Amino acid sequence: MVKLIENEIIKTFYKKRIHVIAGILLVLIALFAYGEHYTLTRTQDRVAEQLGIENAEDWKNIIGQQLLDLERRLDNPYIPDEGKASIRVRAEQLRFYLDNDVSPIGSTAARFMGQFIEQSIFLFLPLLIILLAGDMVSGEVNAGTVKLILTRPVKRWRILMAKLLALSMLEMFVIFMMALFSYGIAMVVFGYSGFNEPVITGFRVVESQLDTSAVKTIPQWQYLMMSYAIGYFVAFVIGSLSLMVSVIVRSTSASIGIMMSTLIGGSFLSFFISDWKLTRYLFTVNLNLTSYISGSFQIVEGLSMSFSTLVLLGWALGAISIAFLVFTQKDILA
Amino acid sequence: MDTVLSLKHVSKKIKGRPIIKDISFTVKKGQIYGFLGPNGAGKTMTLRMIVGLIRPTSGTVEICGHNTRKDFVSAMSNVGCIIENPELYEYLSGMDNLELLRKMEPEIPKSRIDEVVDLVGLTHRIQDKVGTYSLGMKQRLGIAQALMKKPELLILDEPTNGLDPAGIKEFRSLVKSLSKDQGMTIFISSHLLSEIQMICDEVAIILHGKIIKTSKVEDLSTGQKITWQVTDVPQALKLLKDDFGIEAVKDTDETLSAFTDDFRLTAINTAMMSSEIGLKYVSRQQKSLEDLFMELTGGETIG
Amino acid sequence: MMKKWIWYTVSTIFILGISIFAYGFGQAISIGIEVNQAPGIVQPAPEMTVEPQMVDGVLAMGDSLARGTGDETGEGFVGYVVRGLESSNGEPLPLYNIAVEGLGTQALLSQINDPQTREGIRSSSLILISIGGNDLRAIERVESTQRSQYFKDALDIYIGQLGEIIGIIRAENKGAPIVFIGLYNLDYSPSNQERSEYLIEWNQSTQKVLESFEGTLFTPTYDLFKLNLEDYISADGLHPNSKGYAAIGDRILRNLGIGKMNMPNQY
Repeated sequence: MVKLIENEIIKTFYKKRIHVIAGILLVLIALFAYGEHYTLTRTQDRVAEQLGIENAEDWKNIIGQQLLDLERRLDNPYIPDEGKASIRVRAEQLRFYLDNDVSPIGSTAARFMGQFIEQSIFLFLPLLIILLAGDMVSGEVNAGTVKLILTRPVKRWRILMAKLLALSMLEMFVIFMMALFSYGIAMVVFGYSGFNEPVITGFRVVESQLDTSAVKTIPQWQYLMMSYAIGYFVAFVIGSLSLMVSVIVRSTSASIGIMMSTLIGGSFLSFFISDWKLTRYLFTVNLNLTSYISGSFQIVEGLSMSFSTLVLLGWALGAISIAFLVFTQKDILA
Repeated sequence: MDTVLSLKHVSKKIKGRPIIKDISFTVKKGQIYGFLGPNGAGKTMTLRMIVGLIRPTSGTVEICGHNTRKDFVSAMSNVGCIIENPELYEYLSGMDNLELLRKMEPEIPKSRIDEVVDLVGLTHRIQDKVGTYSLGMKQRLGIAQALMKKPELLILDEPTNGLDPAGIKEFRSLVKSLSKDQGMTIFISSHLLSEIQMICDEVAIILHGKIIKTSKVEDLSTGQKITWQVTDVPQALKLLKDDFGIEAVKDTDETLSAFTDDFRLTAINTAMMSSEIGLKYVSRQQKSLEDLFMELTGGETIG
Repeated sequence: MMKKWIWYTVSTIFILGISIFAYGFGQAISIGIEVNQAPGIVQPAPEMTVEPQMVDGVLAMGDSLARGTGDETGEGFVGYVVRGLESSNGEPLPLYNIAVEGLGTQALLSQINDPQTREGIRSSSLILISIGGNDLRAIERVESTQRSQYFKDALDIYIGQLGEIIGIIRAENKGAPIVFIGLYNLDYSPSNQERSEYLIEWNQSTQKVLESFEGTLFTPTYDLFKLNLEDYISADGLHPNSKGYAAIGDRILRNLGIGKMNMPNQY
């Protein structure tokens, strides 16, 4: 089995598929980083205008003020403990900025890495994975090389299993590239790592409102580990689905096209999550897993980290089963 | 095991339509067995069922005694094959392709690859990407991958397709030497009667998804069609029928023809000359596949 | 051999990655579970207030001035006043501050319409308000030829809303004094006459509205800051600093009949 997996990985590399993905990643990350850098100065100006001060570099004073205000509120006996959690974590963040002389407006490599995975997890990353996996089987059927491997004395399921496992390893490689490139480019552009910076997490949605009573801070590196781990999980799920489509559909372009349109079209259906109960079981609406830990407000009632994870897992396992079933029975006519 | 390949009542339906109808035949060890039929008769479909690319709707295929459905691995470990065009990974080199396939069957020693490359004469180009190969080179690489494991049974699907006459000749001698020197059993499908005749010992003939005949090649009658130019055609017809039991056919007012072998030809000609038939000219031509089918099916055409 | 390298690299990255994945994903799930088990209330949006019972305390509402933004010690004039009252009465005084930075008059009106805030109003013994500055500052973004009209409209709206606010407070609480802070100028130079005119008219209108109710106290700040801008304004160039707030608080206390406190470097 190991040899079979090795074969599949080598095939993907020599097909230059990984090279293409790496290229796309590099270009996009570079653009994203440049864009951030470009808007940075504008953001600073805007902030200055809003607060009515002349020099946005004077963030220390502003932060100092906000910190004092927060600390006073913490002392206020009239705010219940549950309400204080969000105040406390915000104060922690502000204290960190002051102590470490880090401006909260600018960006750091760690922040950038986090932002990039948050932004790409529900569309861009899946698209990359579809590129990777979409022709795993259909490509070989088209090229005729499937005859070569299916006429060896090896059971069919092993061949598909090798493809699946190779895919899992390649998905990890893609995630690795994403992390590496975003770190590298961000360091060049922003210069500061910021891996210890505290990040707030622990949000939840109760009755359509953001409940911050259980928030806490974790260091940036831990947050990044979590985000990228989630990213890998999403990659695995999309990869399994693509593999299944690749097994069922003969043409590679149809295979990739089906996955892409399902992905993009399906995200429209997230509008109906609260009313049309069925839509929440679609895989496309559950892809934005990082929003659960980052608190960015895409959270909707009824969805939670565990729910989305289970739904996605279900889809992945279902897809894998169907792929195996079809592949082992299929007639190769062409 | 004396029987290397056996098909028993194999049928295939696609979308309800029967494509292959109850075919059976046996190939013994050491034979060079031909599978003959016009394009569309079902040769490739049958071959695909033998190697497991397609599942038969009913019937069994056994290779070296192993059922291909129940014991695929044991069955296929005796088989090397090329189905239709020898497609390989174009973005890899010839060597990489072979190495990749060898990794799937680790019992094959690495040295064997060099051996087999040398055998098919690709040593000088083996490191180049297959995408740069000519058709002939791809054919050779195809044979190389089929021979890597020194299989008991070699299955070739229209192997001389796209080869030039020199290539065909080379191929023929390769097949003969594999059979003679290594005792390999070889199963070749083709639509060219001449090919089959020159290489094979036995043949199964398929038409419209059915086996219409299996026989030794030599029994297929030498494949000669003799045409006599005579003055009295009806007399000649009668003579052939009464004295030799040959059903001849009147072609024109002056000619008639029949299929017969060399041995009797002398006797026939002598008899004709002795009678008053007025033999003017005797000619012979190669029996075409059409002719063979006409003969076997009693007039049924290929189309 | 290139191929061997590819295989080793990919498999190594995979093995490392899987461990990070296991850790990271586990963490993410566990935070999710932890969060869902923690007790909690829904964090109210800034407009709404969670209100415990409060008796006889001071209620502060309005914008960043009431919040004390700019004060290094953090107390603002509100804190100053509360301290002054405490030392005068000899016992601690609860303070309830619902001011929000950047608040406008419209928003304050919505805020006090909330039943819990009304409860707070009912149980206060003193109410401090600072509002209107943000409404007026918007005029800076208006094109100069439109300003005069804009000012008239804005002032009209403001007067109406202010009247409503004071009306509501009085409806809930008949007795507690309502102290309202006037607007000061950031640029007193005569060349900027337009600015001072607007401010003065705004302050006067405010005072007129207040006078139509019982127990209200308009506390001007315009004159306090005129000669002391350098000393009284904080680094952000907009809000008062500790000294500035002390000056305001001091005036309020005196208006309430309580003597001036010991403050270093009083003018």
